[in-house]
Amino acid sequence: MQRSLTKYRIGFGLIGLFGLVLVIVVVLQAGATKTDNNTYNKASAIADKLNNYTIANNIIPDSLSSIGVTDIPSTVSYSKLSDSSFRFCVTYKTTSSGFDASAVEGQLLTQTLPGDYSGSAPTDNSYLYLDPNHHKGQNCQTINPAIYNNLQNNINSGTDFSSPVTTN
Amino acid sequence: MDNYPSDNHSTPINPPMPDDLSSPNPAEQQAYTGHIHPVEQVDDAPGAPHPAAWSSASEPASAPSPVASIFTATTTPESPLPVASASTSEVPSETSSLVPQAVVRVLSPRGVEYVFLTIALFTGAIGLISALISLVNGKTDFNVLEFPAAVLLVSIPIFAWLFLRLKKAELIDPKLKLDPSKRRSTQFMQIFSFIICFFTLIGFVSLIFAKMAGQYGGSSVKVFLDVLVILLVAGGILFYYWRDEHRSV
Repeated sequence: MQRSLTKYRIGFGLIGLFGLVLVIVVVLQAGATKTDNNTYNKASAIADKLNNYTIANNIIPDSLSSIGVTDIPSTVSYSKLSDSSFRFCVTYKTTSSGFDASAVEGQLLTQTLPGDYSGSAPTDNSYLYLDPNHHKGQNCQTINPAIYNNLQNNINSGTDFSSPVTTN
Repeated sequence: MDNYPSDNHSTPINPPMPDDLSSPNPAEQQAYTGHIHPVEQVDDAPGAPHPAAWSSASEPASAPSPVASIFTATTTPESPLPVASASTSEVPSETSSLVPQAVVRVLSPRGVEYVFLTIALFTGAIGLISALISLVNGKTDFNVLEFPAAVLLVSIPIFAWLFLRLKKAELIDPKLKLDPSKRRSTQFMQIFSFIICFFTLIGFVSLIFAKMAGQYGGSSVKVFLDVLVILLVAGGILFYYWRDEHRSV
């Protein structure tokens, strides 16, 4: 009886080994993923403040501290490139691909064409949007927000407000 | 009312039982113990007989309680296991054509284990497929692997333990392979894995056509590997149970 069960034990051992490797990989990545989640949450809060400030004041701030952000993590960097653009970088320790294996199975079963597995990257650079899907290392965005000229000057000169005017 | 005359998985209807099962009356005790399936434990509570449980051309649905003492274990051609039947020698003539029919269907104790095994197999297969599909697509990040790892961590040991335990029991008692509860679980897995393989193949062929027509611009190699993973796991389950059942039958 023991001999007839040996092949099953070997099979379970192999699958169990595979599962164990997966568990080890997941556990090893857990700490870095936690750090990345904290980074993402703080960077998202900073991005919100930055977007709100830019929209409200029609200027790009010189630094993050000038918009009231005091707790800036070392993984987030901001630099003003010009009066109409800035660069925002977030450094992550791990990759978050947003890949969903169950969606792949579902697409095959329901005969729907598989989409792009790389996640949803932001395509509009007129505002700062932090995608939860990111790659390992530095993730930078160059943003060119729609900066309106001084409101009073435009009123006096009869500028059409229906179209945004960006400063140079 | 469904009729399950050849389903030894069914539990015969119980006659009215007293609250106290340790009745001093031997005839009553025979009535409550003699009809119990040797493989299956009947856990249905005592109660009044179901009117529809009695099928007779000459007898109305409400059968008299003395009929309870006529159950004896016999074997039907369809089933190697004893089922309840009516003994005409102890029955009034007007009830001689009464045939007890199942109204309560329960799993055998082994059958419950086979259901547990099926659940563990089903869950583990999903975890294994998800993990392998993630890997063939080159995705090894935490968010992708955490669920498959958790599924495999829990389901593999439980499935392996149940499988080896039931396999040992089958080797000791080969008749266990014919247990209806077991066959119900394994047939469910066969049907389900067949459906998965069937529609996965259709999806793959559909994708090949879409690729030929230029409607799909993704990597067909990755999709082929995804299909291969699903077919290997689901097809493996189908193949194992198919062979196992046809061998035992």
